[in-house]
Amino acid sequence: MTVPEEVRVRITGDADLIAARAEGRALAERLGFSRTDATLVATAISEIARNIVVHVGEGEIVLRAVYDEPRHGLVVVARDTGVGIRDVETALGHGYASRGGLGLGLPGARRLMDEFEVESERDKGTTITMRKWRIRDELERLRERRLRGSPPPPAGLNGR
Amino acid sequence: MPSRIVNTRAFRASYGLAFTAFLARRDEPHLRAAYELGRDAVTNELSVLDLAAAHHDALADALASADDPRAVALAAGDFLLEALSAYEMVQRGFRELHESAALERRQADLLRQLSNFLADASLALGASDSLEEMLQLVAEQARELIRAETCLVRLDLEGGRRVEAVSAAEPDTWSRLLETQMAGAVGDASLQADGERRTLNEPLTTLDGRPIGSITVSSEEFSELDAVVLVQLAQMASAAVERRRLYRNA
Repeated sequence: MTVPEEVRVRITGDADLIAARAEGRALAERLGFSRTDATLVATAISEIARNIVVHVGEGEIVLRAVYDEPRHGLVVVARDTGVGIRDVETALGHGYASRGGLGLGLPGARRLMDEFEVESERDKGTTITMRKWRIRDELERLRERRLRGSPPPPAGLNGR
Repeated sequence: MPSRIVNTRAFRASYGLAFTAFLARRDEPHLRAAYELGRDAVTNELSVLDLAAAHHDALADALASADDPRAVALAAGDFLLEALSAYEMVQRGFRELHESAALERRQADLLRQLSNFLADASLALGASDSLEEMLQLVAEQARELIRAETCLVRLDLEGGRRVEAVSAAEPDTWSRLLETQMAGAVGDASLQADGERRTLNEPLTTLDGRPIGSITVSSEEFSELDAVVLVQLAQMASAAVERRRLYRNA
């Protein structure tokens, strides 16, 4: 079992936003995500970090790998201790009020990721958790087992 | 119209500069610059075709003087992915909007059908069974429209008789709902949390606003639209009950 890796990036300005993007992209690539998916991760992080910089001023982004066979996941947790989001539904792009928007920001980030949760409390802050998953197929897992030196399972058995 | 041409030219120039800078230093700040260009383009309603044209112009210039054309082309691909990701967000937003619009149309159709049925049913002068049937239909349609797990419709008739109708996805969840309903007041239009379950409640009223019952739905979560639909359902059911009462007393 692999120990989950974690990267923390404090977000106070533009340079941190870029660092968070870079870390997200790097982690995505390490986890075997495609170039396209890595770009989407960097984009989603960009939008979340931008929100922190513009609306709150300070926050933190934590990036984590999750190994949940047969899938690998990348988890991004963005925290701030700002005033909180008053109407989460609208902020997520679900309510009537958000119909006029373009689709950038939080709703944009949400659509690029597989899972997206927002917890927000007035004057306490906001925590956004978003995840992207990648299913590893039999061939990939087989290759990995061979690399690690363990024999592949005998033919005819379900290799799980 | 003229201002859009100026914008396109300005964009091409900016894109070319950022692209050249990226080729010199292929790092995250320069990738981020590509992303910001795409984001600005989307915000300023620049066509994605204009972005593609700007990209290829910049690429053509770079290839003309490149030692390693293949490496330049590959790097250009990375740059373009970043620039297009803002458009990807917007495109997914449109898809989502389209899906929810289709859902709303379906709900509007169902509501219309229910409204037609209730208008007819309330004219029935038969036994009180038809009232139970009517409420049962309301409960079932409400549950389907709102995609709730359970729906409870309760009516308090003159003379103290209470009529209830329940629709439940799973048989044993409705008893939990009844307990929740008994705990709250009839006619209390509120959103409560019951452990992991949320409930929406709307009163059924007479024409002059006197509460005569309620309609309650329970599910894991509800949207703003669900609450709106429930209000309409409650009004329809109230009107149907009232019409029926008037006809029977006539």
